[in-house]
Amino acid sequence: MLLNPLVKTAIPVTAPCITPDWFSGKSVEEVGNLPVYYGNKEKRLRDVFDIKDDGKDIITLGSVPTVKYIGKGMTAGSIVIKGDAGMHLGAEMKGGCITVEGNVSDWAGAEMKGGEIVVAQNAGHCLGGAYRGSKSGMNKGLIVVKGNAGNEVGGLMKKGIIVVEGNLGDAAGCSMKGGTLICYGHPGNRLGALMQRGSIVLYESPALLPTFTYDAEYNPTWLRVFLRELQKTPHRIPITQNHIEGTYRRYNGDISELGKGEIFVFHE
Amino acid sequence: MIIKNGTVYDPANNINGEKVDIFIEKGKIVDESELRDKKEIEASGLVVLPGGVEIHTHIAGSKVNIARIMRPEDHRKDVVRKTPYQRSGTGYTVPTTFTIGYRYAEMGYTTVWEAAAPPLGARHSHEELLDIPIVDKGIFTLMGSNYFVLKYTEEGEFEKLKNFVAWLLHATKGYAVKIVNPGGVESWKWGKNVSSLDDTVQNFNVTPREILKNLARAADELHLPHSIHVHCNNLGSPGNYAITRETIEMLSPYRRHITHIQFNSYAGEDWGTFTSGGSDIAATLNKSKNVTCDVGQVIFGDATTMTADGPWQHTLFKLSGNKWANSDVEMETGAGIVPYRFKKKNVVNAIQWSIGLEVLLLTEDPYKVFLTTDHPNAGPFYHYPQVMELLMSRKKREEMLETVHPLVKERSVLPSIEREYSLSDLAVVTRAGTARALGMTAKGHLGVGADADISIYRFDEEQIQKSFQKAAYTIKDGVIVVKDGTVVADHMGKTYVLDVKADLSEEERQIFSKYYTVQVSNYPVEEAYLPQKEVVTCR
Repeated sequence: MLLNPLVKTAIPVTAPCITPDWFSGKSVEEVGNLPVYYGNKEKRLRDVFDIKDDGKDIITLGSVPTVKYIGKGMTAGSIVIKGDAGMHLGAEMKGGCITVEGNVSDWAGAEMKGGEIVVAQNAGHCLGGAYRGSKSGMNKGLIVVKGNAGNEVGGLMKKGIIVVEGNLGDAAGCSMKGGTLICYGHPGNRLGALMQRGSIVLYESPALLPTFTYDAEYNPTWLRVFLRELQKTPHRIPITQNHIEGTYRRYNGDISELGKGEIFVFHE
Repeated sequence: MIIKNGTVYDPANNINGEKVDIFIEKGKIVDESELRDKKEIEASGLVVLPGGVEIHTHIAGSKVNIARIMRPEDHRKDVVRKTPYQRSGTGYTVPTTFTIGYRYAEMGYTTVWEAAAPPLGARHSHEELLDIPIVDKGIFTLMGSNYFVLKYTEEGEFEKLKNFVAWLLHATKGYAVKIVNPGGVESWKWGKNVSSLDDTVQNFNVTPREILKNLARAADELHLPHSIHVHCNNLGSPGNYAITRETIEMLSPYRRHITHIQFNSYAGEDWGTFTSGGSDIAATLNKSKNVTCDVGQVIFGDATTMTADGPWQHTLFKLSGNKWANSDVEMETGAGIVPYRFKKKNVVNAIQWSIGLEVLLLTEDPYKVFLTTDHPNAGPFYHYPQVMELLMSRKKREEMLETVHPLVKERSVLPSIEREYSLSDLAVVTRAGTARALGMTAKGHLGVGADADISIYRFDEEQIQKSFQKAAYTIKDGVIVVKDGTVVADHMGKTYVLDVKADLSEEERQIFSKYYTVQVSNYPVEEAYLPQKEVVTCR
């Protein structure tokens, strides 16, 4: 299915119906009849998008920076966005794959429970985060961002992997409860604040909070296995042999909380 | 307006499933001869009941708002969009004011009572009540740990206490005396609690027993329409049914209403040996006079516990590990809020669920026990139809028992109870009984002179829950506000207040200006907050 936005608009479009689950087995006519909100007005998908059937199962969208909740709760299938995507992309998704060829806005992969999100450029705030009041954020799945990410990446994250190849904003991995966050660029301030468990792997030295304590410099066995597996994914994550075999400095924290979280900083 | 050919259940007037026509003129039920508006509602095949009267719920005021602020995850689950007659809002355990009004009306309820307003927060409570559409409403004023109440009880100055109770009801525009964990909330200010009726309250030489007796006597001597509304000590703790029984017995012969009694009917020594004390409590209710109670039936799923019982909320916070808010209201009371989830497979939760039903089913006189969920403490109010179904059908109870923790069958007598509520019984526990307990003469019945608050249902014995979830019609003050379960008109309900008059003494004014953060002249709720009021005379 090919979806191209009919108008360029600053008005947010709420379209949680754009998922392979909703689209499967439906004709262009039926897909066009799915409900969306244009601002606070209820409309049909065909009022906002030009819909064409290209005979493929993949949903392909043009640049949709103001369309929210694309792929919300999807369980399988693929969505490709040929440009930018709006807020809450793949929120609460359980499976399948979303590829964004441009930037993605805030809350991408929020509270996701499985599946993959790959972003070719930058991501917004609260990537893989928890909605306000929730007990946990991302819980399984993989997010790869080729560019930079905003603040509070992986907040309250419970399981899963987030890889950011560029820089991280502030408070990345805050209140983390599990999972792995890997950053190849510069991590922002207050990294891992209030984290209880989980791992953050860095390749540039961070300004750590005083509530993290240095443990040892070594080559963690699990990380070796973990990075080798990540190398096998088709996302071309820049893992070198050196990263696999080299040593890391381990810090544990946040000791103002449980203190079982760990930050690994690549040494050599 | 005429409601024609409906099957009417009006237990207060001994009408039990008869075909009676009801005539409405100017918001009141009238005799046929006074009828002018000949509009008809054809109700053949439908069940006609008086509008529901809710006796205990938490819908307005400071602690409800703290819970709203504290639970964004709760609002996200249940978003209500606007319609031509409805404002938008959010629901689930702590709905927005407008949604509360709509949902009560959709279910056929027309009168609701905010059960715990701290006196200093009374203005806030009334402000929020103004934004709750359709239903009639009012507040109960918290007094169990008020400085002046404790002081006069300690000094034995009953007349001064009575005068203060009257003044406080007048100042807060309250309707009844609410007592929460008497003495315990005062002790909580020092991190302590009281655990029996004869414990001494921190910094005051008084006991919960004295506080309760004095306030019950004051409420009776002031001829308040509703008795004291008591949340007993030791709420939520295993073995607390003994203190509940003692409270009911020692307050005789005064009128008393024990609220959310399910939370106070626990037997056993600790959480491991937790069992039901429901049958014992029901036996006490059966042999006592001048006593009423509401159950606070547990609904499985999400709840937000909010009560003025600060120490218990701290205990629950420690037990559950969920987030917690605590509030201290100067010289008056306190509050705590903890989100909670009742789980079917949790043995304690499952027994709690059975206790509410036990009390409802084993208490012989339905005028003594009422249906509530202590919204939102044991579950949201719009799940009442679920409880109605369990009360009316033994089969449904047995089905439900199969899905909950198996230990319930050993530790509760619920599986052996055969009683099934009739529609008349149900009308009593949700309408006639609550209205009588609240002293509301124009509510809870369909006799001539009653308010034209009527709910009409498409009743199907096979689908009781569905039948009561959405009323076919809800009529409020003679206006059709809900049709086929959807709000079709906007309507503003009345706020109920008392005609008590009293003034503070010079000494009390001095204490006030010395210790309160507000001046006594700014303290009472102004008439501006009651644009539509109904004054009830105390006699």
